[in-house]
Amino acid sequence: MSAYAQSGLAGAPAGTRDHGISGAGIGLRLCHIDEVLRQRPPIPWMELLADNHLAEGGLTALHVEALASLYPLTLHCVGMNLAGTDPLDDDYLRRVLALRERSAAAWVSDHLCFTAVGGRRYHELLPFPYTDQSLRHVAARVHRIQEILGAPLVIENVSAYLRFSDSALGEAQFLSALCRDTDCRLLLDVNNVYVNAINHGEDAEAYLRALPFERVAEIHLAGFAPREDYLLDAHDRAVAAPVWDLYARVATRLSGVPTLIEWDNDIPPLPVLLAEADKVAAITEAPR
Amino acid sequence: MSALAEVQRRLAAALDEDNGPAVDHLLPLLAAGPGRSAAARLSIYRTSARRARERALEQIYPVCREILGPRCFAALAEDYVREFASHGADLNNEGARFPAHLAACIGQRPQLAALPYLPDLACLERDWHAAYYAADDPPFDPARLAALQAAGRAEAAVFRLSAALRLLASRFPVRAIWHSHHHGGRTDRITLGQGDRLVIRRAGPRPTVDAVDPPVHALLSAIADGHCLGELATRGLALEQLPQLIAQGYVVAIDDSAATRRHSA
Repeated sequence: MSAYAQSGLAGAPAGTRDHGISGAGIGLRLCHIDEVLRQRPPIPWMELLADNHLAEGGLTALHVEALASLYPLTLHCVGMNLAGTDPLDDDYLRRVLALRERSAAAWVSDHLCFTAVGGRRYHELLPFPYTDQSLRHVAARVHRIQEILGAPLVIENVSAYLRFSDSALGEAQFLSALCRDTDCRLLLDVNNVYVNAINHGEDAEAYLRALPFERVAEIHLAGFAPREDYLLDAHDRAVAAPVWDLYARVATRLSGVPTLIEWDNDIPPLPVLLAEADKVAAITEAPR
Repeated sequence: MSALAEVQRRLAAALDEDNGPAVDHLLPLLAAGPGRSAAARLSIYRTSARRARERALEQIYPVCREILGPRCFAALAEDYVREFASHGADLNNEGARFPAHLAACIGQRPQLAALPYLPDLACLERDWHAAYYAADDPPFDPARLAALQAAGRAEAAVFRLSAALRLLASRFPVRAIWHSHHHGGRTDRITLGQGDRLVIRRAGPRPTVDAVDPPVHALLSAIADGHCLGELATRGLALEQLPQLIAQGYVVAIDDSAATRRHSA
């Protein structure tokens, strides 16, 4: 049994209501922090991009402290390099852990990807082949990260623009096996499922059927940008109609799982973001 | 090297170049798909990865960008991203060598010759950004110094500056230029003066940029370089300023391990 399991924290993300993380939240971006702290809008919960808030002092730390006193929070990372073959960045993980403690975040998530190789950071969610070897490799790193964080990691499916001929598993099968081997949880990004289905000619419903839904701790929704011959996971606009449709089908099977609106580029005024979150409630609370 | 490491190495190499052998080495590993070619899909990542770093530079160097203009800055940032790899997960630490990159470009591009102060201005912006994101300091503990004095080792004391403090010396009035741009002013009426000795430091929520006298700057620089108290005295530095620098929070600690190493050496 791992140290985090022995600590009694192993079930933390699954017990979402214990942490106040429920309903439709927003990804809080830097440009909205002052407005949120001033107006204190009734947002059920918010997610911080951990990498923007790692500073252990100054205004950044004051903001985290103030937000944590007002809202239930979660942390979303982009720098753990889960599938990377470079050594784990212990200093980065230490800072994430410190931020988790300062923010009382219910859980920490990152992406199924690699972000660095040979000491070079690419600041991009890069794909890798889904093989037995890579499964063992990622599982070992997830175990180590969970030991450091003292809690299960929540892992997000990504938009991938490349597929590898060596992949013996689909992403959903890979994530399912990873959950089995590490007791991690899932962050299901419905927009990413849709974008991948279109870009690779894959079946979104089959993807969803292969996921262990009981492991899903959080759902993400975001807007994609249509390009000439593909969809870009741009996070620069409202959620598209077909993604809402897919979400509505997911929500029937994931009742009570908190959902988050992400908007990272061309960020709109806060009321627009909150209105987008209201659409989540309209779907999840609609009579069935 | 494992198969996974080899795939990742090939993908990273293909991102580092626009065309050429690295892309050719990657392509056989990729599955065919509908729509655009694998090489074209690869360019999605290449563009996005570079843009992330360029955006970070825009946020760290807003005054330099304003002076250069968005297009010129974008070209310099693009060159920087191509030339220098990123080695940290935290994009707030991106671009540490951007001032040196600007200095090199000024020497190579005649259109930038009228902006000789730009690298020092970039240093100011880089240091302001670093101070903004630095950790808070614990308060100075006078008992540490008293203990060293009691042990007859006071001369070996090595002081530590605030983590949120940076020093900058420039022959240009970069502080006035920086302030002027923050307040929508003009830089063509700023006189050259005697140059700047600056302390960039965060005590409250945001850093301030303060001019200090040359003796204070020299003392702080020597402390930053790790000189012990005895060496500071030998160099004739303005040690009478030390209590004030401690009271102001510029000097925040005594590095016990350094003091012990020096005493035993």
